[in-house]
Amino acid sequence: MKYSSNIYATALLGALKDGYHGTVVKNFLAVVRRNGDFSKIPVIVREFKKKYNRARGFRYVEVALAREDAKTIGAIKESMKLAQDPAVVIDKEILGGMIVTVDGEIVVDGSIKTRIQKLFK
Amino acid sequence: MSKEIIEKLKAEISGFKSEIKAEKVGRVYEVGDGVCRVWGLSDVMASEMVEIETDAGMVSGIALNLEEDSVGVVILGDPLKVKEGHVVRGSGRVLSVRVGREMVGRVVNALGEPIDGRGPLFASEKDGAFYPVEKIAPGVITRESVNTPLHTGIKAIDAMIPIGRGQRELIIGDRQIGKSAIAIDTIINQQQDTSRTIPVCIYVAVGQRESKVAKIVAELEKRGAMKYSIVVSASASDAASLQYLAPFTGCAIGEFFMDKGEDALIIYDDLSKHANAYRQISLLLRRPPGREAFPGDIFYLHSRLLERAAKLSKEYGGGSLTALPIIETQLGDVSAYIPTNVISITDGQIYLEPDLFYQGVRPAVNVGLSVSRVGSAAQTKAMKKVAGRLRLDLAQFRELQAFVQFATDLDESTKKRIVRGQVLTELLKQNDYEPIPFERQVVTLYAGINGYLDGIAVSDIKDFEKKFGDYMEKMHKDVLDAVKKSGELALAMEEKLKVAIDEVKRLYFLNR
Repeated sequence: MKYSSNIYATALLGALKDGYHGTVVKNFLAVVRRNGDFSKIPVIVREFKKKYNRARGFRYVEVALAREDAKTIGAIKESMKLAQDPAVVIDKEILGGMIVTVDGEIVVDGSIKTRIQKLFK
Repeated sequence: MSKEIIEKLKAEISGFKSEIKAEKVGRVYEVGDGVCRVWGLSDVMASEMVEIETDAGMVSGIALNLEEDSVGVVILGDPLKVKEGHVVRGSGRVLSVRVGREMVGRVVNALGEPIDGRGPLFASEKDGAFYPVEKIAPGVITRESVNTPLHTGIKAIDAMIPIGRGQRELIIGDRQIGKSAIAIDTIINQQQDTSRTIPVCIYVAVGQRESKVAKIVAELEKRGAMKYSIVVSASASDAASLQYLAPFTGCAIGEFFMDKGEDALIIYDDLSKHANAYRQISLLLRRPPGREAFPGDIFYLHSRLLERAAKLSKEYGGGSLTALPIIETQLGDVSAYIPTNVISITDGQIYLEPDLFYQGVRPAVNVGLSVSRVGSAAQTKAMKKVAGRLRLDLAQFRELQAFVQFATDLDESTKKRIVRGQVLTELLKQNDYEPIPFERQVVTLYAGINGYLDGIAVSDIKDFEKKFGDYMEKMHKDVLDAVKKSGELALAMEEKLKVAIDEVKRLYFLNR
């Protein structure tokens, strides 16, 4: 029977609810391979990460800045009520401002580069 | 001058307000063969336009497959620029093209962008209107019956398979048999039908050779037809996504004029290649293949396209969009999958037969198998007068054709029918790019069906026809103008016509 990536991710999350266990993961991979769905592993991993973060109230936040700015990072962590520090990426090409990405899907783009592009559009 | 520009820029910059808002994006995780799979984009709409941020700039795409955990995007731009990890943003609008009157006389691609090297279509951002490429067809209440003829300039078609404005008439036949020639003649003929408004003609080339499209454009320009025509080209070297989109883009352009109360004619050349392009995209998107590997909704692809051709009622502007789709058959097989699909959708078909073509009957229209479901509702009274007997005479001739070689052993009435059939068959032959105005067709066919040409050798019929037409233009233009204006062959004009035919015959035999 064919299972979707979502079902595999939910099953793995349930199997690991008591914590990480190497044997469980190994068995899981063996089951996926036996079902002929090994090519779905990247998608299963992505879905698992989303479900894992959601179950624990985590949000994976990435902040792109033109230069190091601990004060800005602190402000973001406080305003978004994050349990952990956001990941920081230094990208000089954005010129200034910041780009905040939440869970890889929601983007708030306040970079100078994008604003200049919109100005000249 | 530069000071003014600087001041203007300063004002724009100081007044600029940028909105920062959260938007949902996706990332490319797989790309190949013109299709990419995207993670994220959880609120993307079906057929929504998306922008892929590549290192070489933005590349457009359409979200065609909305799956449980990913989105299948068909890339409209250069797929080689797209790499794994690139961010994909939704545009918030379903695929639409900017259309306007400025497109008339131009050659555009499937995205409505000019490709004829004559500069941008629109002078400013405010010109033109965005029309959705996918749109629901006009409903029953908004339509009215087809009642205005669309003359193709081809005698066999205008007489026996008449097309009306708002109709869908399929042109079907094998390769290299004259399908596109009929379509081009129809476009060229529109400027000769001055008793009605000239419809805007849209020629959609799907999967054609670029040399063929260039030849068609050159021919239309030479005949003065480009001034009311638009060419939408998605050639064989273009991506399957563009070949899939081109007919819909052409239809959106046609609807722009239809919604303004004007008439438009659209030719899809050809829908067989369109079906192949859609099959390719569907297979790459891993949609389940059905019969002949076509996706399950291949019928819906063509039905929703062709249903958008309509004649609108006066309350809705009275405009019309006439569609002439073309289908290429293999070895005359009209019972194949795609041909039968499109035959069942359209309001009739013009079937071109290879046997007739090789016998020298060109256009090779098989009158027996061709039909127009609109029929004489789209014919002028003058044409109805001559066409009724034409079909019957030809049908009788077809039955007797086997006896042609035994002509000396037959009774007089049979011989007469055979001669009449041969004369009419010769009369219906026509060269490419030489459409004949309908009033000339009426007088010529009148002479044919009433036996005036029975005494002329079959090999001389074409020559006589030309001389007769020229004589009528020079000496009896009033008859032609009366037929053109009223659409009828009144009794007085008919008498004049009879005298004219006799006179031409007398002169013809005198000068031989």
